[in-house]
Amino acid sequence: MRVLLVEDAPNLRESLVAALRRSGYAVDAAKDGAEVLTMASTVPYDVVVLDIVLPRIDGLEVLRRARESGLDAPVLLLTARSNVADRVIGLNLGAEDYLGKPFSLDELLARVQALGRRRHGQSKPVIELGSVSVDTAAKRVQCDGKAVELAPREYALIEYLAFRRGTVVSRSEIEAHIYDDLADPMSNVVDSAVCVLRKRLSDAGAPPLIQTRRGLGYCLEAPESCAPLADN
Amino acid sequence: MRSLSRQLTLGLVAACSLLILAGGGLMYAAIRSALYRQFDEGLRTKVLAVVTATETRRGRVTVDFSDRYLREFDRRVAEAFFQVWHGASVVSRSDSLQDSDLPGKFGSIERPVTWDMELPDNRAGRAIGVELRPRGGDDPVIAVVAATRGSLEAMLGRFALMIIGGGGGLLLVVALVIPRIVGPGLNPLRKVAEQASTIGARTLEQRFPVEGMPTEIVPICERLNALLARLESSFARERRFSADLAHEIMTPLAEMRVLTESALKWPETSGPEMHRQSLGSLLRMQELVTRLLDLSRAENDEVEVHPVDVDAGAILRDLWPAYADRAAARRLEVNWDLQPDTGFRCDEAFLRTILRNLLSNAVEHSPPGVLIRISVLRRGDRVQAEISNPAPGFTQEDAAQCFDRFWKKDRSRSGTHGGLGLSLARELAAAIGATLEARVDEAGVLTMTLDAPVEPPAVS
Repeated sequence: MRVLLVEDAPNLRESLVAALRRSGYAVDAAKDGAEVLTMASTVPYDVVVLDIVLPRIDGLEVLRRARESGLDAPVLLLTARSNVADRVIGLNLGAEDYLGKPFSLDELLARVQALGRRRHGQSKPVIELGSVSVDTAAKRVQCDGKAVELAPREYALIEYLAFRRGTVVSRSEIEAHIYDDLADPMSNVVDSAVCVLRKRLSDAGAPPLIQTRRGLGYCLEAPESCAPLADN
Repeated sequence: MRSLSRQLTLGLVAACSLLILAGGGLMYAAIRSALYRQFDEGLRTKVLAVVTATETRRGRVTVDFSDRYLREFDRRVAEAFFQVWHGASVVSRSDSLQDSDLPGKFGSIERPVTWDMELPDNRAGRAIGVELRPRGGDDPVIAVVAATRGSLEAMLGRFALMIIGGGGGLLLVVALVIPRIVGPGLNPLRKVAEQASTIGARTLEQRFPVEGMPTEIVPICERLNALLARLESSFARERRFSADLAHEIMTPLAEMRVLTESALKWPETSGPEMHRQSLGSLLRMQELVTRLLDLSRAENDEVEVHPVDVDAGAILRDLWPAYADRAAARRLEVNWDLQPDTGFRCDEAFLRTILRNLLSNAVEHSPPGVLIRISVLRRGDRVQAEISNPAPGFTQEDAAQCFDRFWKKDRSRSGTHGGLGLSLARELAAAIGATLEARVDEAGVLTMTLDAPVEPPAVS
């Protein structure tokens, strides 16, 4: 999942970006409202973490403008203010959740994860794929009850494909949701990552779950259940 | 609890009751006096009739009076009585008197004597007595006529009843009408009270309506409105302070918590960089708390002032090197105007803190490539240190608010300044008997002026 973190305090921004990346998220960071509006209009973020107090354009105003310009990703508001009015205004403007500073890192990660699941219409934290299960809360994959060792990026890939199971997902979509600005857009990182993931699953004894749809992308689950890609 | 409405109603009812009682009493007295005058006139007519019937024949006084003409003197009717004396002997008495006597009081015919008395048959009566010379003789005789006051008293009684009844009715009307007059009259006050009861910390934007209010209430509303405006401003400032304080403390706290939890969650990533970031957050909090404590002490006059001879110009020159590199990086030029004889006595540490803050603000917040003017000059028994720099976007309102705690032109936490420096500088200026003011001219040049007395004020 790709997360946009908007926080103007440099230390907090950097440490949150690091924590989110270690948790397997592709993360972009913005330090003010103007950056947010530009980035949110070009990248299909899965979750936006937005600080209310920002320089120049207030976070609530950023949220309002972003929603008006078509941002549909769930938004988690961060604020040091404890007043109810800010929270109510934020939620009324289209934020999905709220977290007051200082917060627990685990709570922030759990809320980001929950919002990401909601974004993909997934209410349960565990996605069952036959003998393979993807636990989105624990960030863990098991095959026949045994853990499958995956790097964060590999986990992010199977989680995203699992969220989109049954549909063909293009490479560009995978890139947009799994890789942040650090990834080289010219490389064939997606193909490589899919290849590695297949090997890891195969080594764990899992059946072939990821099908290649030539010229279209990849589809997780049995090939016959894959729907054609609507907008490639 | 005292009720103004009740107090006014009771007071007005009591006043009206007294007026009605007094009016009734006066009316009764006037009627009584008129009836008695009328009664006395009747007695006078009767005594004149008796006098007319009295004559002296051959030295003997006779009264030729027949009660056939005035039946009230008759024994059976007995409503009136008369008795005539010649010297000490009774010449005549009415049949109604039978063997009784009337008192022999008298006056002249022009000024007869009248008095209340008890009639021989024990009824209340009134009498008139005159002395006169009958026809045909020179010896005076005395004639006294009395009559029962029964009808007079009955009539007075009826009048008294009418006055009491009328007065009581009036009292009832007054008691009913006055609350209906007082109530609406107090409505404006009631409205003010009702509105006042709805005002709380979250509704300080309310104002009392002045339009249409009675002139007595208008000054109250105006004063209350002015008070509300001050309260609103003060509450807004306090709310801003609380929010800013939360802002300034919660952010480094959040940083430290995320860093620490990250180190626990991913120990392999913990290293010097993480500790450096954590220390940075800690130092920011420490500086914030230290400044808040300094500010609190200064605001509560808990700082000790140690006046020494200082020269603001020399201190500014001494402080400048710490900012010179930053000024050069931002292509700022500095114009110095340090006049001689600008020494004065004050606490040097305080003065350095104030001037350091002003220099730092000028260097950090001026647009790149502009001119900063620094001057120190003497005006009478005061020394003025001024630092001015172009400050685009800085308004008169900003100049009024920039000494508030946590005030920042941009209210987000970006930048290294916590927004406490100017607050502290102003408090320290006050501690040394100086003033620190900000003004912005039409060209957008901000000037901070420290105005200090040459001699420090006496410590109370």
